Amino acid sequence: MKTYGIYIAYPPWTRFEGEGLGRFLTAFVRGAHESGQARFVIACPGWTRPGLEHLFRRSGIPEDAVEFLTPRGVPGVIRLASRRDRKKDQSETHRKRPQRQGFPQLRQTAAMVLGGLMTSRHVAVILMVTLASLPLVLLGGLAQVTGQGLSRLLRKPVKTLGRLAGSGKRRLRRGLEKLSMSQLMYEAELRNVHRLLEGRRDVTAWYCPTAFWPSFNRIRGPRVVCVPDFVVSLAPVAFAQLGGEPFRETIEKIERAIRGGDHFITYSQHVKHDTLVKRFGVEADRVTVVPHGANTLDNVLVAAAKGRDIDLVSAEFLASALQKAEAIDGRLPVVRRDSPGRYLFYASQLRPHKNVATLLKAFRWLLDEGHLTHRLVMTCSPSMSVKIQELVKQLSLHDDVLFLVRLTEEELAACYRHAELAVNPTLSEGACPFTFTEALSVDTPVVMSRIPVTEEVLCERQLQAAMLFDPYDWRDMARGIRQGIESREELLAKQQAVYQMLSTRTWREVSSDTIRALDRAAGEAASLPPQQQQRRPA
Amino acid sequence: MESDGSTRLMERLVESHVRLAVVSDGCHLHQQRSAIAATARAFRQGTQARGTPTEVVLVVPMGHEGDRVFEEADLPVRGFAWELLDGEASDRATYYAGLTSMRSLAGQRGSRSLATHAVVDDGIRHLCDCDAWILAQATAPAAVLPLRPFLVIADASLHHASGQLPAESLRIAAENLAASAGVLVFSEVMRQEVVDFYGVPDSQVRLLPPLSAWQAWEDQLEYQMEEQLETAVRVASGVPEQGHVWFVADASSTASPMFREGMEGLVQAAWSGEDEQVSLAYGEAIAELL
Repeated sequence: MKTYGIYIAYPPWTRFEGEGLGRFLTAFVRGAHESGQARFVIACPGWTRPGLEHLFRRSGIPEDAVEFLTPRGVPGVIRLASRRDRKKDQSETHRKRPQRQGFPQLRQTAAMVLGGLMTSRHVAVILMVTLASLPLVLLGGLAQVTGQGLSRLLRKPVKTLGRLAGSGKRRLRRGLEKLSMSQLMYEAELRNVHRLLEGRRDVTAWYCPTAFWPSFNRIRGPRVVCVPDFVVSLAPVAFAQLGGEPFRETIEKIERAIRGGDHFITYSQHVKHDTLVKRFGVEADRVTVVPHGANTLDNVLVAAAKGRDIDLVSAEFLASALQKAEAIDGRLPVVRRDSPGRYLFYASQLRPHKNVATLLKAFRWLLDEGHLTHRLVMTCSPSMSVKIQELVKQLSLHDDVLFLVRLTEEELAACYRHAELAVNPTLSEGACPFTFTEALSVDTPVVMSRIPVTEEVLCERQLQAAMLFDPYDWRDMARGIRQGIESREELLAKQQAVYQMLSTRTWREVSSDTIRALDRAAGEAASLPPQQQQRRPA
Repeated sequence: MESDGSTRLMERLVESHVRLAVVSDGCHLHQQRSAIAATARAFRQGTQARGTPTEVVLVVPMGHEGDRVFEEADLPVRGFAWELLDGEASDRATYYAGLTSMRSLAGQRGSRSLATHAVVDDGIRHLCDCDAWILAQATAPAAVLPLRPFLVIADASLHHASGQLPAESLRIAAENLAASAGVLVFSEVMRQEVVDFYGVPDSQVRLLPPLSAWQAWEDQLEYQMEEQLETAVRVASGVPEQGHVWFVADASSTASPMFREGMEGLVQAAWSGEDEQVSLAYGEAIAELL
């Protein structure tokens, strides 16, 4: 049996349980384990391992399904900080500390030493070094206080000098690369991870399930990186306004990961051609398309019911979901405790490409001109977008739209199950939205936007005409929704036939397809001359 | 920052159709609305006549989308509001759109400092779903961030001597003309203005036959001759009372043979109606852009 590696490089304190990648990893590892085709080793920082083990345990994945390749234990600093962190409010935003610049070589050496100390597994060592360096810290503090006093005195002349120095110098200073303490620790821990994985000659090929980590390209040997999507190019202005420069740094990391990559996996032909081939110039034959397995929710409700009546259990979860409604300006729609009445349902985060604004316009028109008496239920938090809050107020939709936040999987399933119609107006996704299989698994029909990734999977023309609308035109969206409601049963019958076919694709098949892509990368690497096999992209 | 030919070709292959946005923020008067609707229709008809059908989306100020003139135009209509992006956000947007490189590749340390730019907020993707834009006015609250190649229509109000626009608007208009892939004008006078005053290379300016709706709109502009003066000039020049077109130009431009040739064509086009030839001229302009 061959061994394959999975590379994870989350920074400390990243939550991935319940997130997309966490769900994907669980499904993938389970699928691979059930197929019995291969063994997997997961290389990750020490701080990620406990979370992954917990996730796998909760999902019923046996301990021997994967082997972990991590530096022993969790860095002492993380353990200390985690203790402190537990006392903190989770939502607190940490103020960014200004960084000092200058003396690059000295800084690099200091960074190495500090990184080594911060990834030490022994709390006692950290405390001893900290105590020993206390006099130095005090001396530094004294110097800083004196310096601040002096700088106050000299502020005016220095400002004048600064102005004289001109904007070029200011730009250069502002642009100098900044190193944060957590970044130091992260880099040092990754070096430890790479030292470990370099010793694993038995690994046929390495797989990185996301393109966030350019450090993956440091691995010598066959590598396959998954590029789910690159949505920033779809809505460049909205994303430019979101997250500022730190977000840009993340996007640049993705670009570095792609540009230094060997082989790639995408979930759709569209991302393969439109993103990798067209935007990044990747050769098409280095990209394998591995479509998702079907995401279903009926099993979630069945498991939660534990033999009780599904209708009853589902109604309870819907009532519990309704308790999680988030208000805009303190106003919430008045609904019965256990039901919002007839409603349309859109399960999504509030991101620029999710197209919530156009859906709200279409919904307003349906209420006014389309004689609709439904409500619109969404799963995003309006607090994430001032524009959406403003639009709800402008369209007077306070009493008609419900924003349910932080739903559990069971509550999500219940929301789908009781909806009249599921709607997905998204402008772009990495693959055909899960909305289709999730809604159909609980017998709710769906109308969706006509985007390439959807047309790839739902390719029957008749079905497309019955369920797809132009996401850029709210009038067409309104038409699609109204048509979906008016011919609900007919649409459901048509969609169930396709759903039955799509639901046969299991995650075991996804794992097998991924393994085939890894084997292909390994085969190609083996056929290269030795000097090229050892190449190590920047 | 303009995409190269191969990128545009790929884009067309992937998206399988071309979408063009005609953006107008001047919709207060009925004539303005009619002019912009007629122009958008001419672009659609023109591309159809050329055998390269293009989806044309009319983009008008928020609140005007439901106007009867636009509904009758039988085109998709979107509402918009101008939005300003500061320098850093503009820089990020151009990078995300794939028009500039990663900082490390471009040899930059830190963010480039760009000026504030204006973008069209249509509540969807700031018109990035469209392959190209046509700005029906050269003016905006700031220079337009060129996330897609765009053409600008330079109407008579842009003439520096018309006194229609304040100096700041003229400066922004100049930036938009310079950043555009081409400038569309309806008269030889405006062609010369765009070349001489705004410094746009002559090869980038395209003279289009004006549509009657534009003529009606331009008649509303303040430089229209006062009735008394018009009569005096007409009588002195021996122009008959009916069946003439007044065209305002300065002495140097009227002396130019190019102007006279242009005038001849213009007069013919103006009275030929919005026939296929006129539409074709609009289609050609789009074909050059794409």
